[in-house]
Amino acid sequence: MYQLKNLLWTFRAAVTGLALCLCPGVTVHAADDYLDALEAEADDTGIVSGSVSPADASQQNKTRHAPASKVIESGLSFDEFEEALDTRYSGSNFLYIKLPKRERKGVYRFYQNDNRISSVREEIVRLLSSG
Amino acid sequence: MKRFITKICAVALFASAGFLLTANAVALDVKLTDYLAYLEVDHDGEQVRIQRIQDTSNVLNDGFSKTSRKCPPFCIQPMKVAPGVATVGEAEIFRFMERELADGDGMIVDARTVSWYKKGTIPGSVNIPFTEFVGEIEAPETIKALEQLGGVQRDEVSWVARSFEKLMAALGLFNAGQKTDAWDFSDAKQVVFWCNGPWCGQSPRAIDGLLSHGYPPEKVYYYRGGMQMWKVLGLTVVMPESAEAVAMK
Repeated sequence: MYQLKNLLWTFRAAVTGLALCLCPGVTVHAADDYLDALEAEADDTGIVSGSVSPADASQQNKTRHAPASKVIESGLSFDEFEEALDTRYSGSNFLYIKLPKRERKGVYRFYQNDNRISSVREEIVRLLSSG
Repeated sequence: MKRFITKICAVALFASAGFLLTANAVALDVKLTDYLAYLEVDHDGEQVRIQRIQDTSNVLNDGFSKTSRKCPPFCIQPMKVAPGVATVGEAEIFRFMERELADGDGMIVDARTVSWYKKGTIPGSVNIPFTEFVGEIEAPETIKALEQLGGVQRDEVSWVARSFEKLMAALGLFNAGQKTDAWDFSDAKQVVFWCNGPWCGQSPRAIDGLLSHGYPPEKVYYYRGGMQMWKVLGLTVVMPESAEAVAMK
């Protein structure tokens, strides 16, 4: 009877030990599984936010809201510069379009030397004032 | 005199431009709420305008239009994620952005893994993946995450001082409940956690981990709608790499 009790205790200890050894492994394995599932689902989500097919391009332009940066992107052509003003700096563009073509070119030349929107805006106001 | 008049005209033009811009904002057909047409938040040093897609025929056509994902692991989350943690919706997020976030007293945490974050995030959010919160309290990434939220590591506290703090905490005095043996969260920020939506467990896991480290639950908010609802409502999303704001389809 005593031997049977001893055997039972040994068996219990062995099972508990085994469980304790396996538990962290199970947890880590479960966490890994979750991360794997997340990555798979992220891949499956497919289309990256904001990317659109060519057919949707015009629609995209309507719903796009680029943030007004403190600087206008450098190296723009004259047309691109005007487009940037129109789409991203409405306040400055409102004044800019009041300038005659010749002076608009002047603003563009100014931008080529200093592309900070604050400076460009000051130049527009200066030209408007001096007109 | 002529110069003076032209300067006056320039000022008037500026003022009218401002008026027109305001009028334009008010004229949005699809506003955020009945009192708010749009709002601007700082995202990585740039002001980003949050507004809704104005095309009323627009529908989602990307992964967020999907209805079903395997559960587990993508199971529907309860409305109440943890005791003491308030669940918030979009209107509360807008108010949070205008107040706590703007004042520097609050943070919005995108708790998703980087691969999700790269697909676009809510303007004003900071990406701290949930994995940073669920580790041991001594883990470097956990320490970094807690410090980001305004937690301060404490030097060794004497048994007497700690016992006194516990007593004060029980009485609800001196913010003692916001201190643990290792951390002081008295000046920690109000934090909104979000992930992919009601089917996403990443922000609940982050909240669970954060609370287990002693962060006060009254400073934690759960935006259950997450990216799913943000997109359904046509709200502006920022692409992290380019910091380019795009109101997505």
